[in-house]
Amino acid sequence: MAHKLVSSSDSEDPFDDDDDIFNNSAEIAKLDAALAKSKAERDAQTFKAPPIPKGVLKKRENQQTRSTSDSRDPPAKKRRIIKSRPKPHPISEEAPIPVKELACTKKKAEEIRSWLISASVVGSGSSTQKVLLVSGPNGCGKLTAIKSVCHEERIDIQEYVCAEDSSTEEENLFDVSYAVFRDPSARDFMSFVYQRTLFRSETRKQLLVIKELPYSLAENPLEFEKIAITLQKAHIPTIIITNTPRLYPNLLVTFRHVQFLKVAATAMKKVLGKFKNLSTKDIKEIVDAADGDVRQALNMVHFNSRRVAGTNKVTCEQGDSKLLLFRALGRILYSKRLDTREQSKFRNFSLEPSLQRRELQYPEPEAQCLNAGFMPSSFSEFLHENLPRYIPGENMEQYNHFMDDFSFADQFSKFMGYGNDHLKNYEAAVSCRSLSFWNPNPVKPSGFGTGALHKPAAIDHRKKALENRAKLCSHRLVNFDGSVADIAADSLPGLAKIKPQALKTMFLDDMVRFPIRAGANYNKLHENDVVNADDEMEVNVTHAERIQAAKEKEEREKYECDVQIDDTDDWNF
Amino acid sequence: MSLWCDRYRPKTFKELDYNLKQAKQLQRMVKEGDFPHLLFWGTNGAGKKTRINCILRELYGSGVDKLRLERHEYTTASNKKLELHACASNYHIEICPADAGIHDRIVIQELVKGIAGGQSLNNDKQKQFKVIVITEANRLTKDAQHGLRRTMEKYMSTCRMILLSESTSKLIPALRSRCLGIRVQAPSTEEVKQCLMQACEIERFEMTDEQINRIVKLSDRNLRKALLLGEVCKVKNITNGDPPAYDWEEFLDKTGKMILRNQSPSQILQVRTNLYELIVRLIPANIIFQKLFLQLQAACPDIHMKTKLAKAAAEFEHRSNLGSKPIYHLEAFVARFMADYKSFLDEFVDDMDEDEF
Repeated sequence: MAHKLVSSSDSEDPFDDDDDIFNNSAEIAKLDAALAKSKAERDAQTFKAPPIPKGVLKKRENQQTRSTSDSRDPPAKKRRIIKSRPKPHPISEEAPIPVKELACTKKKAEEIRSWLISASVVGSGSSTQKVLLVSGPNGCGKLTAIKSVCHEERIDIQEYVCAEDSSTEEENLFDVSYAVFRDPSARDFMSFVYQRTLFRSETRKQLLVIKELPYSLAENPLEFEKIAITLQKAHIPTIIITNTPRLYPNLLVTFRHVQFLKVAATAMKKVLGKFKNLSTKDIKEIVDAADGDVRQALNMVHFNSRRVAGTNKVTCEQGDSKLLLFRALGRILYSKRLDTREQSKFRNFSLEPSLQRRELQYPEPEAQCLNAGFMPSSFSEFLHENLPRYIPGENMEQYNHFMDDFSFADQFSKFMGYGNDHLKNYEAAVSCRSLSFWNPNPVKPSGFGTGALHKPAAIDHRKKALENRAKLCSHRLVNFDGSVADIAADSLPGLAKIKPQALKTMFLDDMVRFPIRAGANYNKLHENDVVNADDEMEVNVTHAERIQAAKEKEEREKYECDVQIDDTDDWNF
Repeated sequence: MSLWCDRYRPKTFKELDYNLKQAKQLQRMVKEGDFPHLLFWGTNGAGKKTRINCILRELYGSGVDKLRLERHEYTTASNKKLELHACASNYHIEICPADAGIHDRIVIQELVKGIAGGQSLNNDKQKQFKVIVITEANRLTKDAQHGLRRTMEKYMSTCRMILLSESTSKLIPALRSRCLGIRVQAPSTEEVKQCLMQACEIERFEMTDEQINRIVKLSDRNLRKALLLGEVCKVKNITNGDPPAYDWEEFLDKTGKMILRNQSPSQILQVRTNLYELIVRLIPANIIFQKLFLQLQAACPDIHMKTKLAKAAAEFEHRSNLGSKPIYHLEAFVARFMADYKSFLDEFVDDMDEDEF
């Protein structure tokens, strides 16, 4: 929509342009002609065309679109019906992938299949759902799954891709006869839907696949209602694919919904495993970077792979991707500042001197975190771990500010206990901002080992705590009563005093033992910490990967749960 | 191996020692033969579980004592196998779905389906329903709580739920309204003393009155803790003197001293490792907050700082409930105190210097 607005304003309001000399279209045409001539003349030589003023280019574009739209029927321009056939793109292969080799979960494919079978029964009553909504992130194999299933079920696919470049706003605005369908793409879509759904092939089963609905439909429930009724009554079943299902709340209510998830790392590895000459390390890196997007992963393989000299091996090295993390951490922990003062946006307003800061060398610290491509939560853990080491000095007040903000930011990670919330991206942003704000005069770390970044100890500890909890849970009801907290804080230490030997048989003795007596053991965790920087990096890398894998898995599972709720609507007990 | 707190746990309503009025009401309700879903809540060691056992006993007779340990297996949506222990008799089952972590909804679904939907009790004399005791209901995810709410209505005819929770604040309102909430009040110090003396008498262990008072005070109206401490005293044969503090309490005490000794970011790093040790051993963050607060406030020089400390403790404890990383909040609390304490000390030293000259 935004794009559309820009182009229309260009054509309507010429004074908006910087160079209104080229306002006259005749002049532009002249210039064009001259240009074409000169180009033809020197075509043989490698000639670089003279730079055309930006305004002219824009005007020309507009003229062209106008002329084409005049000459041709707009629906024909935007509608593209493609019979399902392989494209010469590296991603889509010659034959549809068999269902069992799909990267998405088999369950989803089977769900689509069962729906397809029930929906394509001829003459089925109005009770059967004729429309299916498929949603999911980019590149998780929505269309691929549908194609594979259809291939196996011998169903022809008709695809409709909604054109998004509807720039003929002008013409549309005055179109009184189509008062309801202001948006041409929606109008095209409607006419397409009415046409296609009227007829049905007698010999072959058919399926209509609509990729992305026209945007205006999201805003206009009335139009949408019409389309929904039409599709529901149609002879041919329809699948609507979208990766922004939330834009169409009425879609979610009206139709059955299959939600795809990000492709799991393991599944992706399997897919990439087909490239025999990729090393496992490369595969792992690509899988990490692609983040559940198969299309992107394959693109990366194609883009990055190059032959290793002398062998038939191929490598996908992209430099050290984890270096990004360290760079980002460094930039935030040591927030370099320029000599200039930050300008106040308001003329008559200035902050009190204690709050004034010099400009950051890398403005927008939260962008650093995003660039590192890390989970916001673990990024903030990295910051937290390295904070006292990296920001030396005895300034307690400053440290208090840091920790206050970290604690504040942590609330976003699990907002109000609902878990997995959209706010969690803010966690890292808040901590990054806090670090750059309260650190007005950064000090470069000096001395051996101080510059090294450490992996967050919190991750190890959390893992251990989970293990302990599992242990306690297995003992509860058998040996103990009460909640886990009760046992850990009361029963267990009490038992340790009464019958220490009993704990040994339960393998709980390490849970009550604290490093109290051995004073030297206080620093045990940090004894091995003074390693040189390279070693430290190595540890971090492997660890970071592991965390992310685990987190992904957990989240995936969580989503799986959510999906079930969406699908069934009723708890199928 | 049975501890005092298990051995002297009352089994019937008659044996209960305190909250007798409430016990009578419960007994009357159960005697009618039918009752709504129940939600027991109260602090640790107040006797929630004991009362539930009494109800079961009253309902089904001695049959509920024949307990067996069941192992339940569940499969999550992602084909992950879950294993959960449950304690069951022929008439009831006790389980903690929260142990399944984020998969607790599945556990609740499957469990109730299996128990309530499946078999009907063959004996006509028996009650029409089974009882499902769900412990640690406050740890259930929102998903699971919503699942539970539907289940409760659907299977009202074949099962009753008894939820156990430390407080009602973490339960969704819909769930709260579907249960009869029963608050189990913690015993008063006098009642704790009575119970402890009874147990000591049976065990033939004599303690001075002073000693008993000390234990009662330490236990903080937590009967389980009182009995445990009593038993510790017996084992260690301490007849006059403090029972030894638990290791983690001692450890936390040391941590508090560290905070008071030196205030600097590097000291915080040390404190942080100590806090990690506690968290790893599953000492709940709110207890750490409480204990640290009590210790630090004693070191506070004036009432103004005490107020500030209390404010900080409340603020960060609340945040740690909302967030997911208790270490941040504990550390923030420590940092806040250190900053305040340090600035106070600095001022104090400055004043002293001025006085001298």
